[in-house]
Amino acid sequence: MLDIKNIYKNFGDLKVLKGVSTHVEKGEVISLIGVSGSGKSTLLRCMNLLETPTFGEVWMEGKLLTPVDPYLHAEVIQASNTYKKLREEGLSDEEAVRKIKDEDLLHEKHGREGKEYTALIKKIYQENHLDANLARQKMGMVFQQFNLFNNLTVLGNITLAPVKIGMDRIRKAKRAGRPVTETKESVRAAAEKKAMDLLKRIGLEDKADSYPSSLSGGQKQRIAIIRALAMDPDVMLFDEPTSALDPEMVGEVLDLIKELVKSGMTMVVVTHEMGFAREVSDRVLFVDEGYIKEEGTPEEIFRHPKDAHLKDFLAKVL
Amino acid sequence: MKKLIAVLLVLAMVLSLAACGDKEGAPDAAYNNYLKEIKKNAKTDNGTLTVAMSPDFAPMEFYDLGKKGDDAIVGFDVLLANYIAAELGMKLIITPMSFDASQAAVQSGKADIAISGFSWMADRAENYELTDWYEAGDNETEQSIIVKKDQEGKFSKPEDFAGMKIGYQGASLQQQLVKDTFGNMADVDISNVYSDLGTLVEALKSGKIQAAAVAHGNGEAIIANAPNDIAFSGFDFDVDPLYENNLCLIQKGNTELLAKVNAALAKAKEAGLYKGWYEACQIYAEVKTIDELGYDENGVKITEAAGTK
Amino acid sequence: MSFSTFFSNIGMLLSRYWHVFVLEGVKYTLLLAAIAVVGGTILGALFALGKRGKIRPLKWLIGAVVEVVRGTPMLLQLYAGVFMLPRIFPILNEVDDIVSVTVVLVINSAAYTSEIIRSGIQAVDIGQTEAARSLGLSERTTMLHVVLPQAVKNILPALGNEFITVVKETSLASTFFVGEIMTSYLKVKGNTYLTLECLTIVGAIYFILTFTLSKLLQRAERRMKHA
Repeated sequence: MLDIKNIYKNFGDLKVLKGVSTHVEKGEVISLIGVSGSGKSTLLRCMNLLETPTFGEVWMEGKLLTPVDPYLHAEVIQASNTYKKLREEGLSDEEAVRKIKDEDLLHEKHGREGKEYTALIKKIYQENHLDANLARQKMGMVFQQFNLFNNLTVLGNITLAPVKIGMDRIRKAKRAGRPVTETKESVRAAAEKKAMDLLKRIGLEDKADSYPSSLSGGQKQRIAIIRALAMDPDVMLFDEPTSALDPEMVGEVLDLIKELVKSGMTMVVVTHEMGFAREVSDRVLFVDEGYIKEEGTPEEIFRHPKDAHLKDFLAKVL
Repeated sequence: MKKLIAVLLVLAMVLSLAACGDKEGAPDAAYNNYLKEIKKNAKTDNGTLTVAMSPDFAPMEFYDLGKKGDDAIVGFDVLLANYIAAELGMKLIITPMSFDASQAAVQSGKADIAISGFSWMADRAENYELTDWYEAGDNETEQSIIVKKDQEGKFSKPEDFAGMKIGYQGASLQQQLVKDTFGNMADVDISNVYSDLGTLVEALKSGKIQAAAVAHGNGEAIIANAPNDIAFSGFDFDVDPLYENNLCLIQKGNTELLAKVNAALAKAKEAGLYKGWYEACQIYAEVKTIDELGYDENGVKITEAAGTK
Repeated sequence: MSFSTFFSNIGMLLSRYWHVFVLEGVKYTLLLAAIAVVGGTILGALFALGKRGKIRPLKWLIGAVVEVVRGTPMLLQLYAGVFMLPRIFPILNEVDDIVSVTVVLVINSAAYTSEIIRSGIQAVDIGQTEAARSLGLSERTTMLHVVLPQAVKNILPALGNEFITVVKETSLASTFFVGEIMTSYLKVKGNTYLTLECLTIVGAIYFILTFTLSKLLQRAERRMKHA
């Protein structure tokens, strides 16, 4: 489903992620834990391209979401001028590739690695790339601060994206000359019906015409979750969904998330709620200082931690 | 909101306090006669003459607030501008702006000439072409020295004042003149500065100083109030009329326009037009009345020859 | 001069020349201010758009204009406008100086409103943008439907204040006798030489104008808060 390959993320001189790779299967629930500043939120945000990785690639269902990273493609490295030169100098294929990777010899000369190199990169990109906006329509994200649109009603919040994207669909089809089966009204009606169904599911249908400012934190977050669900995503990303909630409301939100787990949704959750992580995760990743220092089942991570930092961390939070 | 209404009420009260104000509009009969005279037979096919002036200086240039548009700007300099334009066969355009801006306008070429009550100044002479001088009205600008009555008329040259103390009002033209005239004479005391005319006169009366430099008109007023005590010394400052009167500013280097304007000015001076213009403007600006200046209701000057009215 | 002379002079001036002060003066002041702010807002919005865009030379040019306009005195800009603009656009020589003056006022206002708009947009929490983009909405849709509607709530009060400021700034146009309130002062003073009285009247008019406008602005702001 989701393939994270060797992600580096630098903010200026600050190196937040230093080579992170992982894989998320369909239906899996992954928890990311770690101290503040470890890079776990950044990692999550790289998955739906809210942050663009400095190096590395993100793949979703066989589609490339980031630019091509030459270091991840052997044939690209072999097509470069630097590689050819090293080979001429007498290094073997393996040595040359290793040297290039270790010493980061390619990036600086991106334009000067030769036509074959550039053409190959272009080819890989064009064959596999998926536009970020389209990708994000299949990935839902829930934020710590809810981020409901303050200028729209609850119903407006939930229907905004489906309606806009539906109208885009109509426009593109018309322009391409394809038959158009939807109308503006049908798109809107469908979106509103879906929104009301979702609201009923969480018992907040009477809030459809309210504005976010009149809701409690727990209500806002639950609406934020179904706002993301309205787009029928394949994977849901949660960035510390309960950290900003008053304790009495954490429960109702966690319950909703657990429901989602039961329904088989693929999820990546950054959280401080260790109980929750333990209960629902298939895998737990301990992110620390920009690396995944340890990963495993909840049982392994919480009961038998190996990494020293992980042990410290657990001692503090459990 | 309540406060606003209160303020407006006060305003209304002040307005009503003024009772029925004076008549609307200014007596412009004489002025209009002169203007018509100037514009008669004037051609305008020789291009446009853009004149910059600052109409906040009655009676030289000011607004007739009862009029609108181009006719609203009136005054001595306006008559002069019309005259010059007529003489040059050009269409007159007046651009009103602040005093500083009107100078900048000439420098930048936005206006051809600035006529706005300018006096001669050294740095103006450097940066502009200055026309010949013209005088607004009678030459009321003699500068004299007054003394005690027993010294009346005894003085004719600066050396006559040897051994005396001469006083003047601070920051005045007279101060400059006294410095220029007596500055080199070691035996004349010119350190006597006074803040206003009143104190200056008192100093002269009490004998603290033996002579006082004043504008001739002021001297007349002072003597009229103390005819047995104060009199004119007989000495008048030699002031080049250039420094006393007004001139126009033209862009540096535009000697062609300068020559033409000077020719027009010479013609006006020759024909003695300035005095009548000035009187008409004084009436217009209500500085003086038609009776004071000897005009009738139709704006025609009453001369002795025309008999009594 | 005694108080009674002072006030009777004021009364006389008002009764005689009220049409100059109020009808002409106030009319031109409000007209100039309105054109400056409306035009300035439209132009300022274009500036703000250009600065967020991708065309480098345009960004640089707009930035330079905004910095110069905000960093030099308005009076200087008026001089530059009236004396130098007609050289670039000769048509300005055919019309009254008030046109050049208005152009300068609009550009000046635009420089400030572009900042108001930019910071109004910036003040919208970035989380709003992140949530919208995460749903797959384009940058354009996000801006139009989520960010701008919220930015407007920040921008309008600041624009209202700009209008009041511009009302006062139009007084500088009196350098070119364009007819607003300060010009009325110059005209009447030029006629009567009653400087202090004229200043008092003009000061009172400005105060009444700005006071009323700011009260109206307060009321409008209160209503927007409840919306």
